[in-house]
Amino acid sequence: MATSVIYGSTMRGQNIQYGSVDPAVTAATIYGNLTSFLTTKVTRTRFTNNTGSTTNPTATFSATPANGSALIAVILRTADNTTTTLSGWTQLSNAGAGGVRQAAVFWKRAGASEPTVVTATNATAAAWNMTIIEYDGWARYADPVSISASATVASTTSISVPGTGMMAGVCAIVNGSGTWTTATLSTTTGSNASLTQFAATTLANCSEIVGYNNSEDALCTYTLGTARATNRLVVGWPHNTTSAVAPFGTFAGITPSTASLAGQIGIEFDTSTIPLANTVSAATLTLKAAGSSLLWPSTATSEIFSINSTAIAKTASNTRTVWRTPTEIAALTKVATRAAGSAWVASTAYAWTSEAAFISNINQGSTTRLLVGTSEQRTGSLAGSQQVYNISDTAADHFLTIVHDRLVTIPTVTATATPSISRIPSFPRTIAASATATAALSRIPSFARTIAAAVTATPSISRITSFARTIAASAAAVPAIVATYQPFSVQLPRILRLAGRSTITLVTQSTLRLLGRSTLKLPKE
Amino acid sequence: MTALDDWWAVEADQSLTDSEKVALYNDIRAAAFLAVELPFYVDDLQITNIAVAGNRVDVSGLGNFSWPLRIYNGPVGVADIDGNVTKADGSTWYSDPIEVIAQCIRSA
Repeated sequence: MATSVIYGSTMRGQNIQYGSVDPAVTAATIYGNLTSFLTTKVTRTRFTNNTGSTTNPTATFSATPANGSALIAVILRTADNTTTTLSGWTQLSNAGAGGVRQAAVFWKRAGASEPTVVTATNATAAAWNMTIIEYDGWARYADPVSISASATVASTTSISVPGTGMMAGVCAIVNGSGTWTTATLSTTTGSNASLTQFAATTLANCSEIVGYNNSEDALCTYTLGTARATNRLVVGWPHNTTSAVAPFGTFAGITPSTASLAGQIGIEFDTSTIPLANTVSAATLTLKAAGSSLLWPSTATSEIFSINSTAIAKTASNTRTVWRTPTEIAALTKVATRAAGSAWVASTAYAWTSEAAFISNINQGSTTRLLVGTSEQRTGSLAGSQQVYNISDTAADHFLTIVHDRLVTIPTVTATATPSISRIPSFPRTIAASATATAALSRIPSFARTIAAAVTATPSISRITSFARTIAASAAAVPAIVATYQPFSVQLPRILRLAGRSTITLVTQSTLRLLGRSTLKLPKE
Repeated sequence: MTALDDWWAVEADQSLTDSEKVALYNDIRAAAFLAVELPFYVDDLQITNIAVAGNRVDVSGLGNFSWPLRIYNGPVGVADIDGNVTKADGSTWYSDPIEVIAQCIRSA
């Protein structure tokens, strides 16, 4: 029996809320559309690009946009000013530079009979590049925001278009004087964004950036073949982000009505030191409360679930490894709970109440991964008030206590013998771990020993019969038995007394010899 | 300067890689736990031996407990409102590794 206390190795808290950029989308909205938010994500339906040098830029969708989808229009001008307008659309970002270039973005929610032709207006004619894009999925429920506002960039060959906190979006650059030889958009080292180019000229470039699995930051850079001053912008839909907020720890739970914190947390414990052959008899999770601004649910229960098959990376991975829908959580095994209204004191470690299934979900010889959430996140229900708690954001502050035992199987040795089996006293025999005595054992009829029908012995028991049996030196004849022959032993006097009325019969040719010191006494007459 | 101070200095050092931090944590942990005077008691248990290997602290003793107690990646102190050492973030901690052992034993 041993007790192993294993401190956490990795943890990640993910905020269901809408990231650092607040687009006024509440957790309640997200929760009501979790499938779109977590599964469908932001999806691009179609795009069109057009170029010209007229006063009013225009482009045409290849089909009527779906009712409720989100439309984005990116207008890049190589000259002019900042007076571009798009009637019925909302401007997200717009900036010009000294009358030599302009980058503007507008968006609108498609109506029931949305026109396919989109035409902007301006005061003067100039070269322009216009891209219109239709987005669906999560974009149907959340409005796009400016991720990185249109801004002037001094002459350089490297232009950063940060997509930090973005699920998916559009970036664009435009140059107003001279051209660049090449413009290449790429992700920063370590990023996993996917990129799609909408427009590419030597004066303007408009591209789509989608974070890894539509959930992660996308840090991208335009690299120009020729250093040029540009204007650049990024718009899109923020993804959920970390629920760790210094110095308040990492949050789990749901805040339904405000753009504040809510999340789920994944924690990993290296349980590779618990051998596979061992039997776990108890497992307890201890989580440490955050250092300040403590929150604990008043009506929801803290619930811990096993997610052993899902690696939880600290950064640059799919946030969906942590965030689960109620349906997904309901399919997980609940391993521990802590009741609503429980005490929760800063920087204090609390043991959760283990479910019976916890011990079988300790991933012996590997990594044990747990999802920290609430009963609300399992059922999909929402209370009127926030049901949130915050734990320390340091993985090594939380630990698993595992009591385990090495299971050793001692073979049971059963020797079965029939009652008549004889054991030779002087013959040591070692019984194998499992031996069944058969008739092949030596039998000496005159020293019959009875062995119980079933004998249990440890494997190393040796049987050495330590006693010798001696046959008595004399045998007495019982009355009525006629001794017909008495063996002669050298130098031992033997006396044969014939009691009264005894008869010695010497048959034909028999001889009775009386040798030295022998006596033949005959009864007196 | 307590072991906790050394620990937090490593924790705050942005120039160190994760593996470098792990190695330093192991050194700090070993020094702290091996300096504990034996025996001592946790509730009705007597702690008679402490051994350190890598990230593991092995604790054995007398009394009704599933010995040995093996602590993996453990800290060298425990946060407590009455602690004797204050971290940069304002939290207070007990700097004695005995508190870590006591917390682990009581969690079982």
